[in-house]
Formats: sequence, structure tokens, C-alpha cells
Amino acid sequence: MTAGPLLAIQGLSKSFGGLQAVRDFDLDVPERSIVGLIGPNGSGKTTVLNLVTGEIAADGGSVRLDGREILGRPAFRVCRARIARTFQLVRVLPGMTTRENVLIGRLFGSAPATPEHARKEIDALLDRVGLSDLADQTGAQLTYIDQKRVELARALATQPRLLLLDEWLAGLNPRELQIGIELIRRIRDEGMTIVMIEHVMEAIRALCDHVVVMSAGGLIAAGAPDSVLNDPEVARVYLGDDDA
Amino acid sequence: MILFEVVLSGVLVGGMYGLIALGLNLQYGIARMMNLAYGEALMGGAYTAFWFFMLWRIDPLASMLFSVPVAFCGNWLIYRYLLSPLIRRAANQEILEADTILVTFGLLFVFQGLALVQWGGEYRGYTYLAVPIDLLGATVALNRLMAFVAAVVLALALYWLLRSTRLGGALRAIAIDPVAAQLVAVDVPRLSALAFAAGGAIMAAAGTLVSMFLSFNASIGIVYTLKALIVVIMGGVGRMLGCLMAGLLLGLAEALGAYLVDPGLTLAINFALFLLVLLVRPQGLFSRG
Amino acid sequence: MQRRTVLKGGASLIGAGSLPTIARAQAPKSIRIGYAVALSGPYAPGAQSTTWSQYKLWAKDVNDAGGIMLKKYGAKVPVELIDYDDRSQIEEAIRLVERLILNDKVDLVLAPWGTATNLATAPVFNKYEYPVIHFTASADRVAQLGPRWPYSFWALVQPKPATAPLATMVKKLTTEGKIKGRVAIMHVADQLGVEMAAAMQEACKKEGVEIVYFKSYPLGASDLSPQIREMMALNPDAFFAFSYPSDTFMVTEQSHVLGFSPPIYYTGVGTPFPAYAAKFGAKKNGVLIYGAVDSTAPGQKEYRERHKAMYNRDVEIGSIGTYATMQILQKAIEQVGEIDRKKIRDAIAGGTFETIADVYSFKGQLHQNAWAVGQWQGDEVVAVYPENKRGAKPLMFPKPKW
Repeated sequence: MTAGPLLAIQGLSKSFGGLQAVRDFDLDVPERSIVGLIGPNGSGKTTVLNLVTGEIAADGGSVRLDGREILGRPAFRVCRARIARTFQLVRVLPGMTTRENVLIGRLFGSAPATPEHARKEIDALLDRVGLSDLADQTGAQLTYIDQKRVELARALATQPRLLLLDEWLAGLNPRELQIGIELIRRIRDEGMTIVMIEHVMEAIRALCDHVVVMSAGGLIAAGAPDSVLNDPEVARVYLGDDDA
Repeated sequence: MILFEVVLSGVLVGGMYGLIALGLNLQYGIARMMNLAYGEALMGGAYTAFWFFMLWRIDPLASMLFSVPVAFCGNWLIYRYLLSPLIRRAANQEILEADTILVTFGLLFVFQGLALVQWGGEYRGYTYLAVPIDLLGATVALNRLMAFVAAVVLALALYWLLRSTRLGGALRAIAIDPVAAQLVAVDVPRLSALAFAAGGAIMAAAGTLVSMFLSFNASIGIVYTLKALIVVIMGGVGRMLGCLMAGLLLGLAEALGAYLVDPGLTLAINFALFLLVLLVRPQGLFSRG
Repeated sequence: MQRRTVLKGGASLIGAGSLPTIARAQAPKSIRIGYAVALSGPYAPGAQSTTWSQYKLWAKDVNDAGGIMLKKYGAKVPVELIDYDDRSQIEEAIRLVERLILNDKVDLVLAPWGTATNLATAPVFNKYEYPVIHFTASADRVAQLGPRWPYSFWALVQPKPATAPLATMVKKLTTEGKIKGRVAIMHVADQLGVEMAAAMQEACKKEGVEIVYFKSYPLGASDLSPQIREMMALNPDAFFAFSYPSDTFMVTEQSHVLGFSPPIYYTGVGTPFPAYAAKFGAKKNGVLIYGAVDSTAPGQKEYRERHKAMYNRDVEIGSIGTYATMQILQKAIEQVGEIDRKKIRDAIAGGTFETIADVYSFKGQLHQNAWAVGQWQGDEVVAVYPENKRGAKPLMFPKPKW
């Protein structure tokens, strides 16, 4: 199975009432690559992620992970198939500590562990994303940036092969942005495959092997970051619709 | 001395409030179903204890070996076949909430009607361990004391389960954010059903305990549903320790209010406390967020 | 036999194609009697066991005997019940009584269950001039309502006559030196409890009896032991609880546990229930009761057997009283001999009726001389006050210690 892409999306479609949120969307994500998903707000990027993770049901199409169909599985089974994600609006569990938040991912992820077993791994993971000092703070006490880190750590704790990041770098200051970019690169270098929705072009240029552009639910351009970002059609869509 | 006895009385009653609130919190806080037929499990547990005791002289505590599993299965079936189809149908959370309230309201009438047809409307009660016990100089009924101890043991066991086990972690995650929970591979539908069923089972246990010292009839359920709801809102939806505390607080407030102000005002004190919590801490007394 | 002859005669006349009218009016197929009581909601248990069950049993008894004799037609006519569930909602009860009268056009409508529901529906009965005997209703107000609601009759003992004998009893025992006459009163904070307690307070004042404790507790209270301890500290020798069933059971059990056992011990609704006897066994002996029936009244024994056969459970005095109101109604109908509601009303107002519970007669539409106080004596509920009535048993004093 190593020959094909890790994630293969074909003809994916979803409409909400009369609105076609995603139409006939195709995407291949090779293993160990970072694919950027860009486009103006409301173009259907997050919907694609939601369809892949099984949070909402698709109208049609196919999503294969390593050749196996995963479309139609409930979300927790998709996660056990080793796909993890973060959210555009962070969803840290506010009543739980940082460690508990991450532990949940480890306990129920693709390779469920016993609490005793998981604890050591979790501490290592927290260290990796720079959260060791905040391990016993509750989710509600953390800053926005730290909540984002918790979310990332929780996603990693499920031991995914494919990581979906929904504007994970948004709202960071320049210094934090550099740290964030570095962190994502390191995760990829350790063998992860990543799909990231992002508006920060600096990050797209620095990280992505491949970029696809969505508008009004469809794919309008795809290719290497530099060529896609210089495409006049892409610029028109961005500037015309939204300030991004 | 009499003040100590009053406090003791409040604590004994409060423990029971805490237990029933805990069960409702499993159903409403974790499975996210506002179940108006919640108290009917208590009614079932009480009738089971009554009949087992009257017909076969079976100890009420032993009757839980029957009523609790039955309530667990019954509630699981209700969740699985009556309520979870509503989740699929409902367009949003508000519609779902309205639908479940309607369905469970209907269920309440079904269960109450069945009990009426089966056992008639009269009050039932049996005498079990109605003997005085000396507790630090105060006299309490052994049946009330046993019910309190059983309620606290159950509540603490549940609390430990939620705090310290893998299953408990998942249930707490669902209580906080079911969407996030399913994306870390928590099987939300299955565990929600489990939580709902466990809530019903707890209520059946509470029914057994209550029947040891209070008389009851077919319409007893709704009284306890409302009481549990008040305690859950006071303690915080999804907050287990908060519910236990709020239950004790309510029991104490009732007993002290009755003694220091006027017994007739217990209900008023009850609701005043409830309103105060809603005004000052609408997220619940013991909520951190 | 008679009816068949009439029919035959009629048929032959029509066959002959002559005179279409028959000398004697055709008897109705049935007497249609409607009612709305709570079969669901919080009132359902009480309404079902005290009211609904008795209406059903009475209808069965009547029809087993061939129906009610209507002199006007010279025939027995069966009764047909039309029943609705008011879902324990008073507005619903009002609507349903009106519906029975206007849409279903029933011949008679029976009383609903509960003081509030009876008071709320009484104007409807009176507006359409349907005679009704209210049983499960006790309130001071009804004494003044007579002239305004001429079609409403009130059969249950009302708060003042229910409590006056109690104060007199305490006074008498005090004068005789048997007790010190210290009275403790507690009552449920609900209409009946409040009115009974107030009436008792007034009666005690009139008799010069000392009240050492007087407090209410809320409906649905789950622990009365602090109140009992408080009373015990005051050392009363007569205790009166104007209570509802669940608190009656609770206060009794908690008194047992705490050892509160004054020689006069009175509790309210629920005390005569079979469940009370089952729960407390021999400890019930000597406890005084709100209301009573004459246990020696003719027909009561047979009634108890029929009740047991139909419902497989024992009966409590409220049910017996309800059944008695049906007997009154039946006798009034038979006296009149036809369904003429004005005449039936007058027959109830003017008559004296021997029933399985009591001998009823209404003054100002109120059963003035109703049984007020009963007592558990052995395994039987006997009537104690008013003591001059037929069937009254002497008071058992003191209540044996628990």
C-alpha cells in the first residue's frame, strides 16, 4: 500500500440545505508530506476536514486512508483509524487539566493504553510541545496559545498517521509563529503526514509541499506553494471575496 | 443538642438528594438527555423493595440486586431505541432538547399509568429497621442512617470511577465537549447510553433506599425528578462533586430553615436558595469554568 | 315482563297502522352518567383509589341488580358511565364537566376528586343545574356557599365540626385529671391542613385548652424528626397532626423511633388506609383518625366483600364515604322516578338516607352531623365522635405506649 497516497479524497460532496458547501472535491495526500488547504472564509475548507473526520455525514464521494474507505464511519472510529485534528476555535476540555486533556487522547486513541502506562508517554509529549510547566493547570486557565498547544498534544496523543490542522497558527505573534512553524516541521520530520488549513502565507510557503485552493466549495488551483500563490486567479478570489 | 440533631437530620436527607442528583447528572450532564421520566426509576425501585419485602420478606438492600440491573437495562433500551433516534432527527440542540422533553414526558405518564393499573393508587410503605440508634448523643432511625451510608458509598464509588478510571475520563470528556471527545476516539454514542443507563440504575437504588423510611405511591417519581433537577442546576451540570455538595447543602438548608425559621417555609427556602444560585452563579455553585 | 307486554302492544298497534302514541312513555335505554377524575398526574393515585374505583363499583352493583328503578316508566334502567381523565388539571376538569353536559348531554355528572377541583367545578354544575354530591372536599368556605350553589351538596365532615370534638375531648380528659392538657399541633402547609389546624386552634381557645406547639411543615417534607424532638422537649400529652398520607406515615414511624408516644395521638389523611395497618401492625391501636364511618352500618360488610372481589384490596373509609354518596344519588333518583334534575336535587335536599357509611341528611346542603373522629381499636377503624350518633364507640384512652 505504500505506493498510493496516504489519504485519497474523490468526488467528495456536501450541501447544507441549498448551499453546496463542498462540490466534487478531489485531493491526494502522499505520506510524510504537508498539504496546505487555502481559500477565503466560507469556501468549504473546514467542511472538508469535518467530512474526513466523520463529524458530519457526506452526501457522496470517497475518502480512503491507505486504500481503506473511511467515509461513513463514526468520528471515534475515524480517530482509531489514526486520523487526528485540531479545531479552528479551540476545543480544550476546560474542566480538565492539561495532562488530563492529553491523557484522554492517549487512553482512547488508536492504541488504547492503561492510565499508568500512558502517563509517562504523556509527560514526554507535553515536553515536546512545551507544556511541561502547565501540566496541572485546567484548560480554562490557559492562554489561547497554550490551549492550541494542548489541542495539538491531545491530537498527537491519539498516535495518528494523518494530522489535520485547522488554522493552528492563526493568532500567534511573530516569535510564536516561528516556534509553531518549527514544531510542525519537526512533527513532519518524525514521519507525520499533515493537512493544514491556513491563512498565514508565510507558514504555507515555509511548510507546504503542495497547496490546494478552494473557492465556493470547489477546487480552483493546486500545485507548489510559490506557483499557486502567484496565480492571478487565486489572488482575485482572495482579494475579491475576503480580506483573509 | 437539638441544633446538632437538626444538622444531622439535614445531612441524612441531603445525602439522598446528592445521590439522585448524581444520577440525573449522568443522564443530563453526560448523555445530554433531559429525562422527565427519570424519577420513575425511583418509583420502580421503591415498589420492587416493597413487594419483595411484603411477599417474600427479602431484605430491601438485597432487592437492589434485582431492581438496579432491571433499571439499567430499561434505561439503556429507552436511550437506544427511543431517545437516540431523536439525535439523528433533530436539526439542532434546541430541537433535540424539546423533543426529548416531550418524549420523556410521555414516558412518565406511561410508567405512572402502568404502576397505577398494576398496584393501584394507594400509599405503600413497610417497616424496616425503624429502630433508634444513638449517634454522638443524637437519636436517629437506623433505616435513615443506613440509607445515608449506602447513598454516600454509591456516590463516592461513582465519583472515584469518574475521576480515576479510563472510562471515567471518557465520560467526563463527553460531559464537557462531546464533539472534541469523539475526535479523540471516545465512542460517544455507546458511552452516552451507558451513562444514561447508569443514571437510571442509580435512581432505582435511591428508590430502594427512600422506600426504607418514606411511604410512596405511583406518582412519587416526578417529585424526585424535580428535586434532582434543582440540585443539579445548583451543583452544576456535569459536575459530580458539586452535586453531592449541593445536595447536602439543600438538605441542611431545609432542616435548619425549618428549625430556625418555620417548618412551613422549607419549600420557600428551597426555592430561594435555588434562585439565589441562579442569580449569583448561574453556571452552578461548584463550577470552575 | 311488563316491558315486553308494552313493546308487544306497541308493535301490534303500529302494525295495525293506527294510533302512533303509546300510553306509557318509553323508558330510556340507559341513564348516562359522566364524570372527570384524575387518572394521570399527581392527583391520580388518590382519585383512582377513592373516587374512580367507587364509581365503577357502584355502576357494576347497580347493573348487576338490573339498573335503577324509574317509577315513571315502571322499569329498571341500567346506568352507563362516560368517563374522562382531567390529568390532575383543574382547568381541564372544568372544561370536561362542561363538555359532559353540553356535548355528551349526559343525564347526571358525578363529582371530581379533591377539594380544589370540587370547588372549582361547582359553579359549572350549578350553572347548568346538575345536582352533585361532593365528597372529597373539605373547606370552611362551603358552609357559606349553600344559597349560592343550590345544586351542590357537601357530604364530608368540614374543618370546624371535624376539630371541635377533639378540643372538647382534651378539655374533658383534663377536667377528669387524666391528662395535663398540653396540646401539640402540626399541620401540612396546604389548604386542608391549614384550615383544620386553624379550626383546631380556635376550638382549643374556646375550650380554654393550652397549645404548647403549633407549626406547619411543607407538602412533601422528607424528615419531621426535628419537629418531633422539639415537641418532645415540650412534653405534650395530646398530639394532633393534620397531615396528608405520606407525612402521616412518616410522622408515625419517626414517633415510634424517637419514642414520642403521648396518650392522645391523632393523625390526618392516610391513617385509616389498609397500607397504614399493614405497615404499623399492632402499633396502630388507639391512634385517632380524621373522619370515620359507622362500621356497623347495614350493608357495609357485603360492600367490603364486593370491593375486595373487584379490586383485590381492602377499602379505606374515604372510599366507603364516596360509595355512600352514590347510594344517596340512587335513592333520590328512585324517589323521583325519572331523570328530572330539579326534582332529584330537591329529593337530596329534603331526604334522610341510610347508607353503608352513615345516615345522611343535608341542612343548607351540608351534612351537618358527619362523622368527625375515628380510632383504630384493635384491627378495626371505629367511629368515636360525635358520640351521640348511632354506631359511635367509646374512646379508647389512653393509647397504649409504643
